[in-house]
Amino acid sequence: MKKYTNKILIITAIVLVLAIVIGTTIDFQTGYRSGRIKYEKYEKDSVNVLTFDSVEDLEAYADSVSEKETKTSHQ
Amino acid sequence: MNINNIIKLIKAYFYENWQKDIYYSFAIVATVAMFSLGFGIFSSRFAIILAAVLTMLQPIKLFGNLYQSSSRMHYLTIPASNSEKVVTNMLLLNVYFVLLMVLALCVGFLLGYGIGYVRNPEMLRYNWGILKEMISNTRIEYLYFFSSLAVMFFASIYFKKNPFWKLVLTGVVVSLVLGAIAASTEWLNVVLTVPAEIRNGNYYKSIEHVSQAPGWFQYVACCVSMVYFYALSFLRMRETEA
Repeated sequence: MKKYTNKILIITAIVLVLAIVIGTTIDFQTGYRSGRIKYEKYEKDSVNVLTFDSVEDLEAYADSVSEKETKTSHQ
Repeated sequence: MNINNIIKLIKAYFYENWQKDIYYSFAIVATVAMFSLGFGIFSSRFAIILAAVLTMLQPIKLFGNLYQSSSRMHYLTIPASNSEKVVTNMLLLNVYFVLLMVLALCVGFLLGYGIGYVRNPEMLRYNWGILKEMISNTRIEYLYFFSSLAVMFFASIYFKKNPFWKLVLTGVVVSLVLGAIAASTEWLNVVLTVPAEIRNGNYYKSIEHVSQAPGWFQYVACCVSMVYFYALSFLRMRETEA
């Protein structure tokens, strides 16, 4: 008789790994796009916290910071 | 599958093991009575968990004959099919041992609370409150318990020696590996999605609320895992015979 138990266990493990990878990706991507997962900036010597309402705002802020840093390094 | 064979197997089990089961029940009664002597909800909960773990160990006794070559031959040549043996052990585990556990818990709590009442009559009201709190809102915990029984049932057939410790070790390894996969997937998503300036800058990730699986998902997952592990046990038992 062929032994199927080990094969079934291996297939289950593969399905479980795929479910975790796909589930984590969907959870992060939807969370990031909808603004549920946010990146906040804590300014030095300040208690103010910059909170971004959308991904576009956050990316625009990040671009302006990197532009500023580039100009400073050129000078 | 013949019902008469199942009944004969159950009778044979009781004939061989009734004394051991009485000692086992007394052990639960004594433990529960000791822990419910007014030490609060944590000790009562601990007593229930201990009784549940002891019940989870019963499949090792039920399939104990499979672990040594001489007794394995004897067990496999008993005039009943392997499906009948698995069904018998399933019934013994899910009905007989669970009822035995519930009965031992009731007697243990009555004994413990009785002694508590003699010492201080006010304790009875306090202990009754604890018991009511523990019994209510634990439907999912019962399902977790029955799915753990199914997992242990399968492990008792699958592993040839020390099934409990091998199951614990497998559980730890699987949890670590799956956790590492989830963490690396999350890291990869951050690298691919979040701009480098933000990733490397002085930013803090904040999550407004953790997304949760719907409530019914746990019930479905428990039921599916029970069916899965009992089906695998049937299959493994047939392979053992071959």
